Amino acid sequence: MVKILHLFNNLMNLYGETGNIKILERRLKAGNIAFKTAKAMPKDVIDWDFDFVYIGSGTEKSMFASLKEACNFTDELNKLIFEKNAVVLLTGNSMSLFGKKIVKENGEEMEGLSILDIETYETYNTPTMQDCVFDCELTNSKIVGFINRATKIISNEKPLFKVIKGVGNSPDDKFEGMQKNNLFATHLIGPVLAKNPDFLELIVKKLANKTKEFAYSAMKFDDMQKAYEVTLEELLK
Amino acid sequence: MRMFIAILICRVLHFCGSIIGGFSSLPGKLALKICPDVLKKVKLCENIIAVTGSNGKTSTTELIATTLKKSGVNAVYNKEGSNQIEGVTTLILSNCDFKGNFKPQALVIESDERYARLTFQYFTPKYFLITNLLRDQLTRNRHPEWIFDIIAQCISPNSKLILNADDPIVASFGIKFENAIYYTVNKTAISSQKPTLSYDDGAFCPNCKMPLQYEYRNYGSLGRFKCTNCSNGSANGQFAVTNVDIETRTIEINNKFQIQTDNLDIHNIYNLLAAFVTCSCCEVKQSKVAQALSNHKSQTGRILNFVFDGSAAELLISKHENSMSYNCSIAHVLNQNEDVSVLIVVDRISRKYFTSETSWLWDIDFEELNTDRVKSIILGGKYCYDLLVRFNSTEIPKEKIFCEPDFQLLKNTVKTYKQGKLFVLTCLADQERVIKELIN
Repeated sequence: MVKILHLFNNLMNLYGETGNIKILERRLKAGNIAFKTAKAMPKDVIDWDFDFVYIGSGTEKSMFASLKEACNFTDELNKLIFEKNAVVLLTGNSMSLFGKKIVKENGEEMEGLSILDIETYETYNTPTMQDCVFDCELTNSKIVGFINRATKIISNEKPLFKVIKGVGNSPDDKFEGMQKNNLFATHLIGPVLAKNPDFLELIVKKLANKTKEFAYSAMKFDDMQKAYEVTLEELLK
Repeated sequence: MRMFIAILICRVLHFCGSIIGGFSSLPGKLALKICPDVLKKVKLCENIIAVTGSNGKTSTTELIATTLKKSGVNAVYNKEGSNQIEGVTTLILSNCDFKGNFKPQALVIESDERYARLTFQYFTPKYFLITNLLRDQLTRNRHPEWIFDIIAQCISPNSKLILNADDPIVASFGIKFENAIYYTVNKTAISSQKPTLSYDDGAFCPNCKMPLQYEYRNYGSLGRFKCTNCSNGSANGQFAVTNVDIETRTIEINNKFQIQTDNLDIHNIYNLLAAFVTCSCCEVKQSKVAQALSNHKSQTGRILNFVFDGSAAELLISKHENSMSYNCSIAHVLNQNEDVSVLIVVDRISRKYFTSETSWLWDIDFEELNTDRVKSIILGGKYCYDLLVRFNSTEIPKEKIFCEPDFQLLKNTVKTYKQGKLFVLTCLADQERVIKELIN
């Protein structure tokens, strides 16, 4: 049984991000892999026995509210990521929760969970909204999506993607996102897994390795593949 | 002198535009080049009403202006597509004499939520109506809380706010700005308990991020709510829809004033109420306002009736990148008492800019179309496969879903699979092309 947690589902869900859970469930179902999905909001009691944890993006206020809440289970998250090798996907600004600190435009600093060696600097009045194409070494393919952010991030972690079109962690950074153990963080927002079939397969493969409950065998979905190709073609025009 | 030239050019171009069509923002654009602070120099009327928000502002602006006109107030308003500063300038200058005196008695301005700060740096509206702040064009607008901050920056303490008390984020303007006028739709026959399926922007207070409690909901995050932590909550609206009578198609305001309408869709009820409140503020007798609003025939109709393959069909204009707009169209389809087929087309995501962003499809409650009455669902346009991925992630039986990427084959595909009345859901950006392909 693959145990899935959609953390802060109604707080950190800026833009169609339940799609990431829906598409993962569809993929697991198609592969006859049993799963169970839990959703947790602030103040919910969480048992922390999960193979996959997902957090989406939120408004700046929602992100700070999530940070306050997440500080209550830093130890549990550390254990999941570093001891149990759980697969973690972070989209949008949820990566900032896991960093060392977040610095607001007025200079105010907030401490993060310090799971990732990154620092976030808010640029609230000069946001970046852009269609993006990235190169992904792990999937050996291109990744498509959209960035909607008002921060720049200084990262000392191994990046997840290389920028072909759009922006990286900060405006002059050619790299985007982070990977650490089985944690994958990207500032792309929305249903990243539904838009990128290869990335979805990578997550499933990692889940197979982590849980040892099923043998990974690749699957292709015609609808996802075609949707991906249309977007990629449009973005590279 | 500069003002004179600006007005002259604006009026001449506007006049030409009225003959050959178009030209809603070009005259204003030129006028602003000639005299950048022309809006500060002209003498405007006292009754200036600004209308902003995510959904319903075009319809509400039109409702307010036509109601004022019917009640004997000479009012002008900007038509759709000219809600940025250039369009507003065209409207104002083309209604000024050459000395810069604005002639009408009331000016109703639909303002793009991001550009309101540009328009209102030159003059202050007496009333500032905010209809709702929902997920809309996030590729430009970032998110509703970001738009909240932008609007808050341009509200003058001299403006009187008219706020939708049922929208948690709009209501929270009242925490910052005192003496607002609130309006609300009470629990009626068309209220429900249900939030949207894919997300709930009413789960947490936009002001303090603590949980909200709802007594009931009208749609999405709109309803009677109270924050469990701060003072945000549906204030006791001075104006309330107190009853909705489905049989007589009547809505009742403050237990007293009745408005007849063909369109009892919840968003239309909010628009009618907002117009009622605003016109009442302009010192028009409330009984007169109700009468003028009754059976109003909209010129900015969101429903286009046409004939497809010999039978009646409807095109429901649904804004791309705006899940609530699509949800309203879906609700309209589900309200039918007959079998239906639905054609959804996403080809160009926006008329104004390029993006390939389709995340918003996952915020729409397409799951609701999983009923016996919906016989087939046809997906078209360049992004039909994104739609297909979305539909394949619902429980809707696969044999009901058809995908047609080729525009030229769309008509035949619809003909082949259509059963019952056809409803087309698409955006202004794609509407013209869809209609052309289906009718020809």
